[in-house]
Amino acid sequence: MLDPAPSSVALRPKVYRPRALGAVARVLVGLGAFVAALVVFRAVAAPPGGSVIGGKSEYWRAHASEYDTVFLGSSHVFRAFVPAEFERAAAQFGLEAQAFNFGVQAVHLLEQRYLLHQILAARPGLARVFFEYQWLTPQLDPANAFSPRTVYWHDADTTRLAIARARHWGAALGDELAYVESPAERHSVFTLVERLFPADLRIAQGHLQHHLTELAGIGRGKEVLRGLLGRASGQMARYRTQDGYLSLEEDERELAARGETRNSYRARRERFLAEQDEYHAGVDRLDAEPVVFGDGDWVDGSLTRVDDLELLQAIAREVAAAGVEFVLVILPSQSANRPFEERLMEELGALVLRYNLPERYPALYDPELRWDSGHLSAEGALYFSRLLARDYCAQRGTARDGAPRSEPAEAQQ
Amino acid sequence: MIFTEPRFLAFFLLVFGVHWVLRTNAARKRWLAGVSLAFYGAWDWRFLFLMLVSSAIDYVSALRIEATRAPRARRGWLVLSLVSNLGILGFFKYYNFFAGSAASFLRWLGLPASDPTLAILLPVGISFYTFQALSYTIDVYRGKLAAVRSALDFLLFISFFPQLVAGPIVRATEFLPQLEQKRVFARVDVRAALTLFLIGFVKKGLVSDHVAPVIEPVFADPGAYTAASTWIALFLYHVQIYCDFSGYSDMAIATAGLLGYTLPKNFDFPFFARNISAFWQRWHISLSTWFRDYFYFALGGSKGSSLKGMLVGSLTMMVVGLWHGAGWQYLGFGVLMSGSIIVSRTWGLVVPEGSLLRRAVAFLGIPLMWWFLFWNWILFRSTGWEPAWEMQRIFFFLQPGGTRALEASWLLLVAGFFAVHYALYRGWFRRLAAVNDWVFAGVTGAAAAACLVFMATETKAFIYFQF
Repeated sequence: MLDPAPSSVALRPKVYRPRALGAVARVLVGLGAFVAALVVFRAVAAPPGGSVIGGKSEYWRAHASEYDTVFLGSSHVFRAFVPAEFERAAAQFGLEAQAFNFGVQAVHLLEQRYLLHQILAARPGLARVFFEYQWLTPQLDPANAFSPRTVYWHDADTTRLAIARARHWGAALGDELAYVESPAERHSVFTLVERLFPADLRIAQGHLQHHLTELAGIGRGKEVLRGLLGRASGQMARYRTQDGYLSLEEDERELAARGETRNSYRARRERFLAEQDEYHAGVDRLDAEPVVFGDGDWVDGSLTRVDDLELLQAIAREVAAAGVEFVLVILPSQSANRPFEERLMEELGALVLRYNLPERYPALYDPELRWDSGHLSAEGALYFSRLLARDYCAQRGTARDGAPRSEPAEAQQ
Repeated sequence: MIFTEPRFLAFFLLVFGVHWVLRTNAARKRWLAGVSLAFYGAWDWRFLFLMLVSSAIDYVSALRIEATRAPRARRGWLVLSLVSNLGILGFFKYYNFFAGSAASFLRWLGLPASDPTLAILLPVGISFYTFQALSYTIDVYRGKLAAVRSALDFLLFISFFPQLVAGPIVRATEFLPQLEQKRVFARVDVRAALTLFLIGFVKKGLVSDHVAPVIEPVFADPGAYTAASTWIALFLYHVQIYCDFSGYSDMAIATAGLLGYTLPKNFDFPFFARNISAFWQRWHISLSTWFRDYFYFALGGSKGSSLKGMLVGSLTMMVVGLWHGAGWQYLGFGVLMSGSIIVSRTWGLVVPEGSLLRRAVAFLGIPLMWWFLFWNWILFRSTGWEPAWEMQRIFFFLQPGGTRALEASWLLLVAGFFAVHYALYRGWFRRLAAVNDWVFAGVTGAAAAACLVFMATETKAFIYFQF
């Protein structure tokens, strides 16, 4: 097929200039067809982001007008916020709300902001957004590099922001900003070369590569097919009945009913019950120490984490500019940074509700109301949703009077 | 760096552009040798030294073999080359297997034996470049080839990046003469090369990588799946291994072709073979011909009695099995292939030509070959003896497995693949080659976009990288 012996091409008359121009023109035609095809594929593709995000995004696009309140965050929100319970409790405090749970597993702060833009674009008249507080990890987790979940939110705007924050933290932290290499690439000559560059540039390069992958739509074939066939993700129905909420108990039961032998939900629960001493020690540390990181089970602890006040302020301003109330919620997690939280209360320019205070909210840390160390049980979710409604309504009243914003529980004391 | 990764595209565009811009052959060869070492170092730079040391030994050995007249000295240099190449290969690839097996055997006998295995990483592509180097020194020793004077040429022959890590295994007699003359771009069949690259890309990125995660859990725990799922997984692996390996070969041949070099064909529609000999004439051709020329012929398999030919052929297949890897499953694969040679040759001797039985078996040749290959794939793909045994139990006796099931719709992919494969085999697409350059450019551009969009999101290493 590729015989280098003189071919028909070699026997052509030696008129080089027109042939060279013709070759360039044919390359341009090829490139044009390449770009045109990518544009078409992108136009017909279903929403990206994988099953949960794709499903919630599709649902939101179709039903956004039914809601005025959204709680956006990670699985901690997904498993903790029961919209119906929130609405019921809020109504008792005089607030009529239609809420949607936009919690998705393992959401990253920049991804969360990307989703926020999608939510606002589909529902300009939204009244309020509860936004789960998250720290920023400037570097992408190498374990998830180029996975669809890591690629899809790298549009031009988010990538620009990701690079800017990486550069900002590179300048601020210097050598403290670590770069975690993929174990598979540790001995590559290309890695040897990359080590000559500072961490922030390597991080920025990673975001840029993800942006190019997103731009080209690499690996989006399934979404293109779903888009062409006009099929919903199959997940929409799951989110319709409870407005985006699903308890871990329901997921565990579903897996058990399917006969799955590897039931990760049950395994997590059993591990939690077996490690009660560790759990309680972690909870005690939250009250005793100003800075605690106890969520190593849910994130890669070796990646540099930063509390990015500037970014959160910018997000709060964007939401306010869209005429929507922004409320930052610190969920009852295993981590805390008390000095930073105090700064948030003072400088964010928006309401901050925090629940990572075991002394103030002991019930949220009661093992009876938790599924595992990071997530609330179904009963815990009902309790948290009522608490959130009460605290928000209380704060809303205070804020309306022009009084300074303060902790909800403190306000009631 | 995998051929289907976007960064390979960037790497190749740079290599291609600079290669054709450079004016002299020497400059181009220096460039290609440099980027080939970088390509290999993309996996692990530490193994570059191993390749350079082994290349240096072969380079010097061949020169000494040619310069020396005394047969004993010539043999000594050849032995040095063989021992160093096979020693390095044996240590990195087989030490843990044999040492671990010996310790297990001693423990089974009741003798105390500690585990002597070491944490050794297998250098990628070591089996391929070792065999390439061996063919060179053996050919020089046999007087079929003049020892190459240029160290650069020899280094490029060993390290040429398109085929460095997974073949085809290129003979020095095929490649070194190509280095003597400057490549001419006008002689490159760009259309054929781009088409072949896209075909290889589809095989790897759109078929093999999509299939891999589907069948992985079935081979890991076949007892949990229904019998039908086991069969679906076998059909899928049948397609996957072909697409993975032949896809790599296609892209390697195409990449080399775009740089003006010819690599040998490695696959020729092996699944349409009707017997085991025909299969090995069509599957991993560069390996089977290597073993034919340097092992089977060297042991006199082609001379003497039929029995001798059969035994040598059988031994050859056993070694071919072990070439694939250090593990009992590869030995089992070798034993099966080896047994098939004995059965096939005995059949040829015992059953008369033209008999009804022979015609019937010839008629059923393709399904019989597939059935036999499925049996081999079980050993080849399984992660250990236990799942391999479980799968064979389901395969042979159709015993019920577990309750998990693979969707039968995966068989549509198998059917679709073989429909296209058959059309290619029959040459039904040849008419498409006649389209004019403008249409070709447009279709190729759109097809390349489709390949990127529809490729699997997780790029798996080529199966044959581990060999």
